[in-house]
This record gives sequence, structure tokens and C-alpha cells, in this order.
Amino acid sequence: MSRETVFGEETGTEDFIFQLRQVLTRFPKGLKLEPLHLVALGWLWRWEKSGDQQTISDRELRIQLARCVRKLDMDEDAPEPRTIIDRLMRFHLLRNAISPHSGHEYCLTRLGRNLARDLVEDVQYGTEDLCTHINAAYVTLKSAVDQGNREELRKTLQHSLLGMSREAIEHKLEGIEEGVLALEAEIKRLAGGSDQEEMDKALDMIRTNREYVEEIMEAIQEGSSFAVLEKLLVSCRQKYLDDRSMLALADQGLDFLQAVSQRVEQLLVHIVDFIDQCVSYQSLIGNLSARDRLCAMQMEILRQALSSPVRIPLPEKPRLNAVVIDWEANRKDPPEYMDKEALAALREYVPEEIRGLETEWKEEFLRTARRSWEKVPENGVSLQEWLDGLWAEMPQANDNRLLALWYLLCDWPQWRPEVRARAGDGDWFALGENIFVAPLLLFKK
Amino acid sequence: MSEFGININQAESEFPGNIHELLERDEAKARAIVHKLQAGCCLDDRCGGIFRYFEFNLDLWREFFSFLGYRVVASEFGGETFYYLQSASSAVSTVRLKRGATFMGLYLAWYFMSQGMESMDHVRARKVHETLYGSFDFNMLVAVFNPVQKGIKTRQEQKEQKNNLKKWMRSGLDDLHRIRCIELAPNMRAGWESLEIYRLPGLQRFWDLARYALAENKRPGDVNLEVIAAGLWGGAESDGEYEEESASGEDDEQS
Repeated sequence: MSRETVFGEETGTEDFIFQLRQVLTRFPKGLKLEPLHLVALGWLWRWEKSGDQQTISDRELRIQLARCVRKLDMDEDAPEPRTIIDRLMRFHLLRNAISPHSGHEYCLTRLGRNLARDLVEDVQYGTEDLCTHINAAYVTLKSAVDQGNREELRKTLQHSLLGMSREAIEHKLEGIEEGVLALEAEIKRLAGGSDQEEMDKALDMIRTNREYVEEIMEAIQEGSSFAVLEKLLVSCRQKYLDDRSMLALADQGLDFLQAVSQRVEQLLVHIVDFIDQCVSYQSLIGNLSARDRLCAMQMEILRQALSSPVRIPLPEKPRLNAVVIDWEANRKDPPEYMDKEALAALREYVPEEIRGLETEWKEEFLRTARRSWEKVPENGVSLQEWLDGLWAEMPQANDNRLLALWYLLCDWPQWRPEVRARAGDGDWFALGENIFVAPLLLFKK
Repeated sequence: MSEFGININQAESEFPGNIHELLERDEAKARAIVHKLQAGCCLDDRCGGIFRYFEFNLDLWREFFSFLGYRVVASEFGGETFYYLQSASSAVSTVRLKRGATFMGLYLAWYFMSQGMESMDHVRARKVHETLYGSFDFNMLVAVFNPVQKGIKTRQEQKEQKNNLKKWMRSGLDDLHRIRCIELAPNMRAGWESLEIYRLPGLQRFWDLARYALAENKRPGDVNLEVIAAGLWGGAESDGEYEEESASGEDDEQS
């Protein structure tokens, strides 16, 4: 859809575009309305309301502007009243008035008056308690229900509850959320510093944070207007079940209340988390001077640790005595024996004198083993299976399995075709009473 | 109703009365506790059920581990309780964490405390690498993380070492993760760029040296690391190197 048809077939689109262009030309480029100007506008609106004068003399205007600047502690960087007046005039918020007196007089334009009023009302949303907004919504709806006029109720639902009240409540919640986040950022900044006074200030602010919790708790807890409002809406819904548009409005209202209570709950969880975080931070660092001393000491330790080796002690993890054959290390040569650690483990089982022991069955056992190896298929055999076959053939070896395995390990490097091994699947198998061997697959090259 | 009654009986009212019952009452938890502590891990409240099973029956566990030759050490520094084992007899030999891992532990402990609240609990590995690299002499860092290194000669070698520093740091972080001083997120296999380090209570062990020195009324200027390390950690001589062979015990975590 092209931009030209954005307003549909409505008549007067061209005129409206023309008006918008005029708005563009009316506000000078490069000039900005700053917060100070809006504040001054608000001040003048208030001055106008407080008396019965429609116009303000040049002198009085300058006095009022200076007073406004001073009251709001903006003295430092505030421009001269003359400049403020000029800026307000350029934006058509203030105009020259035709005065019966000889002096120069001004008055607020309609635009200026409305803008000031809306701005101040908008801020008021934020200063009222959430409770007050919900209360107000309840009172309005209740009086409409009591009147019993369907049209009146429809209007109230549409314009009051889902219009003004909704905006006020959303605005208020948003304000609380922003306040909480800003407070948290400030607390984090203060607590991370090095000044104990700032740290204490941060703690005070955490207390303020708790006040937010109380306010929103109060707003939605049982017995508050929130619950009553919800009930009232439900009863409206029941009463007008036959009226589709009323039903839709009541549903929208209930959905809105539901969303508000969810939002409040999330906010509560967030605040409680943050307070927890503060507490744990405080207990972690204790007070600041202790933290700084500790950190300085740790830095010195780190500096020295660069040149002198320090290593924190740990208890040694208990190891199972296991025979581990380090096949990977000797990939090029036929697998030899085992790694040093495993040999040490093995030594516990095979004392020095026995390891050198020549038995009368050694040669026969090795011959049998070599014969058996020749019969092993190319794709290999599991160590356990193969050994079981050997034990069956050689009862002497079966009686002394560890020694027999030792003989095999020493002899394997000479075997042709070479013995290769790969880790197998399955459980460890028992070689003897206290010795377990990891599953291995033996195969020929 | 009867099931409910049984639950109450088992979980709340009856504590194990002796070591035998302690090991039998909740076998899976008991096994996980023994495996973790013997592997040098710290037990903290983030271990969930096994931590509670340990803490509720602390005296019995002390008795049990003392029988095996260990001493159960409790730390509450920083308001976070955790427990670990120390060798208390010749039956249990001592190994040492690698020098690089110990240095990382000391540095991370300092880092988390010296930062504000914002980063008191976690930090990106990348950031630690940057600040570490920026705060200390590079050649000395290389010597810490790779003691075998003989000294860097060429520009090319220096460039390689820069990349290696990350690898060595990673291996130090892995070791600290295994003994539950930190937790690596999103997981142990995460790439360097996305790796985050979360502080666990066990990291407080790396304050021991500084606290010991302060308790002795030392000031940073007159501290001798070798002397305090000898006093507290039994010297810096290299015993066995700490190595984890497998992830055994990890499976029990959920029990």
C-alpha cells in the first residue's frame, strides 16, 4: 500500500498534509524546547490560574521566571528570563497581549495553556499511589453500575476504566519500574566505590526500595480495591452476558487487571532478588576498608606468585589399582609394556622376585599363546575371551594369571603378526580376586 | 496416607545414628558426597540435596572422613558456607593444583571482590583474559601457566604464546571448575568467546593466603609469599600434579 493511501479514502487528506506542513514551518529548525522552558510554562500557567489576571506585564513575567528558576535550583545554567520569554514566543506558547495599559503585556496561548496543564497532570499520575488510581477506577465504575444505565456503564468502561484509569495505572507502574531500576543502578554504583559513606547511602536506598514493595503490595493484596474492582467487573460481565460489546469491554477490563497483577508480581520478585543480591554482596565484602586491605594483600600475593610457584594442596584422589596398558604412546612400534604408573601399580601385585621368576610352564605357555594367536581371526578377539581360552588350555597359567599376563606382555613385542589393541566395550573383567582389567580388543595388523 | 507417614519418618524425624546408617540411609547421596569430596571438590549449598545431607549429619561425616584419614574443613568466609577435605594422615597423600590454575584462582578471587556489585558473581572469560594480560608481565604469565617454557626468543614464538595463554587459562579454569571453585557456563565445552565464569563459594579458599598474612599483621610491603605458602599450604614444592581422569561423580550430581 502506498503512502498516499495511508488515510484510506478519507476526504481532506490533502488538507491535513498541508496543515502538518504548516506545523513544520511554525517550529523553527535548530531551536529546541528544553525542560526548563516546559517548567517555566507550567509556572506561568499556575500563576495565571491563581489570580484573575489574563495577562502578565513584562516586569512581572521576568520576576516570575526568575523566581521559578530559583525555586527549582536551576540558577547555575539557566538563561536570562529574556531568552526564556523569547523561546516561548517562538514556539507560540506565549504571545503578546493587547493591553489597555501602556506597558508591554503577555499571555499564554491556548497551546501553551493546554500543554502546561497536560504536562502537570501527566506528572501527577506518577505521584499518586497505585492504590489511589485503582480506588478511583473502582469508585467511577461503581457509581456507573449503581445508576443502572447500560449506555452510561458502557461509556465508563470504555473511556474511564480502559481509557484514563488504564493510562494512569500503566503510567504509574512504569514509573515504579523505572524508579526501581534507577535506584538499583545507583545502589550498584555507590556500593562498588571505595567510600564507606557512599556505601551507607546505598544501604539507605535499599530501604527506599522496600518502600516501593510496600506500595505495590498494598495495591493488589486481598481486601484492596483491586480485588473489589475485579469482583465488580465480573458481576458486570454476568449481568450483560447477552450484550456482546459490553461483554468484550468487561473482558478487556478483566484482562487488563490480570496483566497488572502479573506485572506487579514480577516486579516484586525482581525487587526481592535484588535485595538478596545486596545482602550477599554486603556479607561478601564486609566493610570497605577490610575489603581494600584484603584486595591489596591479594594483589601483592599475585605479584609474587608470578615468580615463586604456589600451588594449592588437595587430597589425592584415591585410585583403583588397575593395570593400564598405554597403547597409544607406542603407535609405531609393537605395543610394549605399560606406562610407568601402571607398572608401579602392577609391582604391588607382582613382587620383584616373582617378576623375574622363570617357571617351568613359561615357555610352553608362551608357545601355546602364540599358536592360539595365529588362529585369531583378522578382525580380532576380546582380551578376556582369548585369555579364557588360554586358561582352559594351561591350568598352570590359570593358577597364576597375573604372572601369565606379565609373561605375555613381555613377549608380545616379538610376535608376528604384531599385536594391536583397542579399547573394547563392556565391563571390566576379573583377572584374579582383586584385579580387574579394562575391556580390550586385540587384533592383527 | 501411610506413604505420607513414611516420608516424614525418613526425611525429617530420624537422622542417621551411626556411620553405617549414614551411608545406607541415602546411598546415592552418600556416594556422591564421598566421591566429590575425595576428588578435592568443595561442597556448597548449590550442590542441593547432597549438601543438605552432608550438613545435617556433619558430625557423623567428620567421624567417617577422620577414619579414612581426612579432616573436614568448613569455611564461612563471605557468609557462604562450604566444606572440603584436607589430608590428615599419611594414608592420604597430597597432590597440588597446577600453578596456572592456582594463579587463576587467586586472580579470580581478587577480581570478583574488587569489582562492584554488578560483576560480583560472574564475568566473561574473555574479559578476564584481557585484564590479566593487561595487568601482568606477559613473559612472567607464560612462565606461570607453562612452567616448562624455556624463554621466548623470536617474535613468531611470542605470537604463538599469546594464543597459547588462552588455552592454558582455559585448562586452569577447567581445573577450578572440577573442584567447584567456579562454574563454567553455558557448559564446560563452550567456546572461549561465549564462556562465562560464575563464582562459587569454594573460590574463597584462594583468600586463605591473604587473610593469613593480614592476621599475622603483615603489610603488603613485607609479605613473603614463599613463607606464608609454606606455613599455610605446606610449601610450594611440587608433589603430584592434580589431574582428573574422568568425569566420574558428575553423574551422581542430580541424585
